[in-house]
Amino acid sequence: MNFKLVLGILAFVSLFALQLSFIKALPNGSYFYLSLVVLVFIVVLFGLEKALFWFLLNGFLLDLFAFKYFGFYTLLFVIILGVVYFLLSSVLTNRSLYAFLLLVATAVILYDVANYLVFSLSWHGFFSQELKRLLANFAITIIIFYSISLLSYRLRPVFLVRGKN
Amino acid sequence: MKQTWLKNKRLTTSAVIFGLLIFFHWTGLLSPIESLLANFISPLAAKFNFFGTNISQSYDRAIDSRDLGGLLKQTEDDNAKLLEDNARLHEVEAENKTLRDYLKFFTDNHYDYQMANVVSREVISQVTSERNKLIIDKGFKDGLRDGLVVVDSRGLVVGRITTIKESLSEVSLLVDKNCRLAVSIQNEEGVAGIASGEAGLTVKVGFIPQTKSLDEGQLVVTAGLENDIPGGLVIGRVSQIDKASNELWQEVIVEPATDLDNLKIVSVIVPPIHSW
Repeated sequence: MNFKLVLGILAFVSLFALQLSFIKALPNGSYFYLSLVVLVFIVVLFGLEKALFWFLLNGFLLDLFAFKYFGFYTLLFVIILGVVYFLLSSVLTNRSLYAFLLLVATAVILYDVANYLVFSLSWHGFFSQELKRLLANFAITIIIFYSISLLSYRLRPVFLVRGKN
Repeated sequence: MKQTWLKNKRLTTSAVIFGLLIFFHWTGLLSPIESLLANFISPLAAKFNFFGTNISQSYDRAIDSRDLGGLLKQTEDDNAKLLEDNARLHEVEAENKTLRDYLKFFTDNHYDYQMANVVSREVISQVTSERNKLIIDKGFKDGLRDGLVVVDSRGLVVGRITTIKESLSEVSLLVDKNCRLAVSIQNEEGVAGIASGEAGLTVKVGFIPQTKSLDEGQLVVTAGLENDIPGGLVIGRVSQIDKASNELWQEVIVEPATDLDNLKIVSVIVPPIHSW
């Protein structure tokens, strides 16, 4: 159990480094939020309690590499988790691709709006950039969704078939 | 489903952990763990940045080659294939050359310096897609401080440190509005001004007297008027002169001498105790 947790933490830290350095260095890399999309999948697949740990870890790592307001990202990620979980448990009824897209869109918009409110004085260019960010993260969501669907039954729809008796 | 946030033991524990994290950070008790984590992630992040930047460079080359004729495209494709074949060797060679260049620059000029890997091309809180800041893997524990100038392997100015932590620093590139440097025009006596980034794209030098006659192509260098920054470090060349007759000062637009988009290793010039 502990070994799995350590392995998970190492994998998540590597994912964080990948997001921070590799993706940001790519052309248009600033539009992609891979770790945020992965976190949304974690909420859906593993539930609130397990997801909370990974959201806190991601927020803490972001705070480590951010230069202002330590704790802002940890708190922001807890809020994002709360909103995403509320949508998942109270509004959405299934785990379809559309549900994931809605959850990812919510998470991305919350993340960006919070960043703009705290760190930017101007909203100039926000909407055009946000549209690109949403499209970029939808692309990641679609890839991850179909990859998981290929490898696991967790996201495949379940049909109840009436028995012969 | 009657579980609430407070009733759930794990959730409460997580909230307490969050509170403690903030508390220990502000009291400084968390700094050894923060340094440890940053030191663990930084080398990995630097490698990722290295590969990401290489891909970005290849992409830029591909975009450039699209504008040229078919022959040139063919040559570029051949070149790309050759580059691919020798990718690993090329990377090692390039890194080696960069390090040798640094060594030569600093040996020639007798500057103290601190070399650093670029960890990220953007700071975390950046809300636009402009690439006008860097995170490097050296901080105040390495003897760095706010305001120090950052150069590339040839000693060309890249930007300056604007925020610093124990083992990380934020570098505002020349094109960032927070990067302000006292500069002068080379071989022009008494022509000095303040260079600052403009819209994340270019560098503007203001406060140059109208009486001074300038030409495009002239070299812009650091003036040496600031305590921590030596004079004579190259920033770029004058690309445009804005000389309105009703203004007290004239402005020039400077094209940075170095490619700010593809930085992997940079160097921070650390002034000696008696500065320049």
